[in-house]
Amino acid sequence: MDASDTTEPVRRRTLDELMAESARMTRVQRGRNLIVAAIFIAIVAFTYRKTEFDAGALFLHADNMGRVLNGFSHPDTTQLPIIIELTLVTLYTAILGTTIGALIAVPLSFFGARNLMRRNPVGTAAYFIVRFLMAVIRSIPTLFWGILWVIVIGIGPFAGVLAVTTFSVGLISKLFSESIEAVDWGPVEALTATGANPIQVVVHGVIPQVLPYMIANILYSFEVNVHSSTILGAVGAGGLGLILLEYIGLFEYPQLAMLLIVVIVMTSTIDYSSAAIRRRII
Amino acid sequence: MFPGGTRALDSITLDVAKGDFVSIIGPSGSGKSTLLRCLNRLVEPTSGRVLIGGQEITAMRGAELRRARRQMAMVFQQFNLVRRSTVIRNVLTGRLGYQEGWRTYWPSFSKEHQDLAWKSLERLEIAEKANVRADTLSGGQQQRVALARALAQEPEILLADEPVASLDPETALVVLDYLRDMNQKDGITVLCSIHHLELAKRYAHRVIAMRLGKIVYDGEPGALDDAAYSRIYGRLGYD
Repeated sequence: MDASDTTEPVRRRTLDELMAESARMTRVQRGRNLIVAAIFIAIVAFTYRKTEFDAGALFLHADNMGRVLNGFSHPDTTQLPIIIELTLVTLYTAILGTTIGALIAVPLSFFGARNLMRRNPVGTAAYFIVRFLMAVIRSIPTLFWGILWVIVIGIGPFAGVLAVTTFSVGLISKLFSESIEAVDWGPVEALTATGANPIQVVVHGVIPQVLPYMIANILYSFEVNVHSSTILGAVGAGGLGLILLEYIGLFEYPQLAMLLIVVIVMTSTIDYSSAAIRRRII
Repeated sequence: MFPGGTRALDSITLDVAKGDFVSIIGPSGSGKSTLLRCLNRLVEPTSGRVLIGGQEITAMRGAELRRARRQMAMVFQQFNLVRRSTVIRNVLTGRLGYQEGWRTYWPSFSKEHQDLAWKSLERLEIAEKANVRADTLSGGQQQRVALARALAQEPEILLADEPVASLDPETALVVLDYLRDMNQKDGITVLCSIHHLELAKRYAHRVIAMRLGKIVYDGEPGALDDAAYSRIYGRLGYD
């Protein structure tokens, strides 16, 4: 672009130059998009090989799939009482775990909110410590927390509750501290200008703004926890997981179908109602 | 009528001549925005009709309605630019209503559309900023970009919803000058809601005042005196 090689920095740029610049920007952007797309396609192709992905197997083993699906055509209701009992245990695990997790996570979240903490060295240090701990907790899935707690306190739903609690602390504090970071800063300035101390500012200026988000975040974590609780029994941490493995191991597809139907009804009811509540409060 | 039974607009009859510059004044909540938005049906009127050039906008659907909207550009108090896009991309969106076929599924514009967008930018004297992100501009500059977007639409009517309410007095005059320019040079009919009575009087051929969803004054700007003003706002203003 010779035209833009100007020796006068203050000269108004002509329309031609601007149009050329615009076209150049579009070209550069397009080139960059192409490169990113190429890299991404290469990554997908690589993972395709490494995971032994084989679309043909879907057709080859269609009969297996048929057997599993066939179970759904006549679910076995004889096991329904035990399935429902264990479903309720799963639900209780999620409720108690989420509640205790929230009690710990909500206060912690304020220490993990960048806008509140990173205004002096002490706050910054606390912020990074909290953020690091939360990241560590979240990097271990609920199922693995279940294994760890079963080792520590033995088999049973209590280990499951602790697993859900631990993971919830990581999840809720991440979600909620990000909600706190998104508050409108105007009222905070206004309250600071009244001579209020930092605690007063948070209590009167921040908390009223974030309460609906706190409930929404806890509800969302509850949904996630109900999902992960259904499998906790597989490692001895109580609930449905144990009989789930049993039915699969014994090829009891009609019973497996019954179990899955109950799980689907429970989780979709909870997902739907918690989404409805969240819509109403936000 | 809105849920809860509040009538934003109540038995309004309004006839605007082609090429007119009409200011709509009135307190907040008096129905100015709703009136403008009923015209291009961003708000659906519960009853009543809107006719433009003999065509009934309120009876239109789908492609027909979009074609009608194409002829009436709109600018907003908060500018409503795509803040993360460049200025020129924002102005190009003024041409969306004219795209056909595969182009509507693809984020690119033909040479003619691009030329028109650049011409509009030049007309609003903001071409310098064409390649920067819209959110880096000042309020007045953003409103000029929004006007360039509207102009690129080659409209017959311009609906301006409080176009200067978030601007400082100097910038407000600049923006209103451009509105007048578009009205006079391009023959675009302008309907502009505005808080400031002095500005409404200075720029409009005709002033309409609204209160509680009804038109309480309609006529020459010159005839709008203090008595009329206090009828509209319930008290005398500071100007």
